[in-house]
Amino acid sequence: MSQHSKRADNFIKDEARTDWHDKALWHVREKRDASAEQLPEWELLRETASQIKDNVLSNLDNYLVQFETEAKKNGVIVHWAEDAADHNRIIGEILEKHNARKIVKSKSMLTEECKLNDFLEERDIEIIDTDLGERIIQLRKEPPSHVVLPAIHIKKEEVGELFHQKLGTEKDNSDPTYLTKAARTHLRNKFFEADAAITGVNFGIAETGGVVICTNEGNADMGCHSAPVQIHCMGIEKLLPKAEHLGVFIRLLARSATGQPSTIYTSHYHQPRPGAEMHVVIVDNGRSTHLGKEDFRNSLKCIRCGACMNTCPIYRRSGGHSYHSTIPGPIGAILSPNKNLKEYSDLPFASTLCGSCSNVCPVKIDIHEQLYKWRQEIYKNNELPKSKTIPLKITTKVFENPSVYNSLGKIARGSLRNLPGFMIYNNFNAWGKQRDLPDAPKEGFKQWYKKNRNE
Amino acid sequence: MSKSAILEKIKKNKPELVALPDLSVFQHDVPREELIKDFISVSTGNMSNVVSIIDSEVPLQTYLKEFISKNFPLATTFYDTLKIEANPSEVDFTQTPVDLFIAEAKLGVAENGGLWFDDSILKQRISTFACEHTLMIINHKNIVPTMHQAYQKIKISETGYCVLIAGPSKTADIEQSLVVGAQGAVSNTTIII
Repeated sequence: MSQHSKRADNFIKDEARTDWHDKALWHVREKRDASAEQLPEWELLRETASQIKDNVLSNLDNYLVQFETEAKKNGVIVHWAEDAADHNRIIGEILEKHNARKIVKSKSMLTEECKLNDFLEERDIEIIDTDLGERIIQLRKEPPSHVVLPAIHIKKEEVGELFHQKLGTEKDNSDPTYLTKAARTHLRNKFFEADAAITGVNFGIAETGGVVICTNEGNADMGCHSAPVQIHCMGIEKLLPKAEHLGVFIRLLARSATGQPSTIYTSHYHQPRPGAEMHVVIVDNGRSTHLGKEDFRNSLKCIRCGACMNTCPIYRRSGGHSYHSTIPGPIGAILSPNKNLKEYSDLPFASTLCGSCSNVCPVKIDIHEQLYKWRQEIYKNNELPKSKTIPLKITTKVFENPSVYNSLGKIARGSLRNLPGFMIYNNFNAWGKQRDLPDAPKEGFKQWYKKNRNE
Repeated sequence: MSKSAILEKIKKNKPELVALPDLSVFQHDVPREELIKDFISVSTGNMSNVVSIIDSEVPLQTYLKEFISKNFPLATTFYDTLKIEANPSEVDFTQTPVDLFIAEAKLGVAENGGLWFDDSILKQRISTFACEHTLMIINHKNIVPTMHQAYQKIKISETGYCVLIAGPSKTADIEQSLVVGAQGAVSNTTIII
């Protein structure tokens, strides 16, 4: 079994919990729909956003240079990191220069991708994730299972027990308001003690050299405005040409993510506050190579809203951790193979190709088409497991030979009707797991067609 | 060097130049009354308390003084950029919890209930986040329909920092249950003048 299947298999063992997870995410999808339907220009916004990103990708080198020039004029220190190791080293050096031992971080999938927390902890630097969901999973020593709802897989009773152990809250109290207040008090102290604050970036603006960060909790701002050093880590693809383009993206982002008309805080950082220092680390980590793949470059448009996850029938029923990659869900399944085809060769198969992800994507990434194209790449690179290659070979033989096909069809229909359950529902039949196969008809389509054609 | 290596690779791999789309299609001419109605309903949806005193003849300072004593009777510490209650300049947020933030926004956005503040208003950036409650004032003439108009009116790099705030801080990270008062303000009151 593939990694994804194995992990999904484990996830769905608890049927009630799987249903709960499925419904929670579908609810978010419904909120997105309600919000999108209120804007008559919604489809035009998506198309425009996609075109803006087309322009960005086609002129990315110039925009990056412009961004750096403008940022420097504002007194911002700009760094360039080719890969994850570079990124971590640069941050390590900034922290060392300031003798920073206590760091607060606000949610950043990029620092997850670079495994920054592990890097800093190995150097005895305390790094605290400050988004509530991120803090929960950090205390549980788990990766996020969703890009905007990192703790969506965890029940409130589990958070209650976790906070009881780690933050000293009352035993058996799992009231979300009570737990959130406890986290608020705990994190307030961390903000005020922090030597440096690290954040991700939602959008960088080439024209002004500033970065924009969207949160609901206000944690990025609490960190950046408390600590003497603020560091923003930005993937090269996050740039927008001008401030006016933010209008399109801010309108799309939160509506697609949670159905809100905007996040509570949309913060625009251009200069450090007096006496403080502001850094931006521009990170490539494989993105410039990805840009060269015509079939797959569209996925660099992603703004990390998570809409594709909330709608995906596979994601909802297998959980984010089943994807064993930093970014889970449909978008993760097309981003990850760019980094390591072998390791993530199972992910493009974790899909029914239903296309729902592409339909909700605010920047119109052809997600399901890329999933299909990755499958071809994986086949060409001989990364398909035997559980797929052998049936494929057999199927090819069957399809090449009509008489074999006809008689096998007859046998299959007969077997489904007549064989005892254990012969159908066993380890050799993956399709018989967790589901009943349909009743087989007495005749195949060919026979039906022959009979009815002349009527 | 990393910079030149990254730029070289991008130059080699980027597709042919694609033109930027036209944004002039997103103009929204909404009658003022409707704008204010939208702004109030979205702000309320974002869990802000909204009060409109557009037609009031009472001077703002007098109104606010009374409003604050009536609605925030327990507030003793203020970050008051309008200087109704106290002078904000020397507040140290790491030392003293502050009860109430008071400021007038530069701009309001009807579609999301957002209010715009920058360094010139905030003085201390952390103020609006660290205060327990926020009281925000917006002139009804400064409300625009959507973010497109907001970015036409606001120059985001005019000061070192600016922020659009659409209500009290929120989270739904525990089982999708909405909790107001995550890391930032626990409540927000918006007064439309």
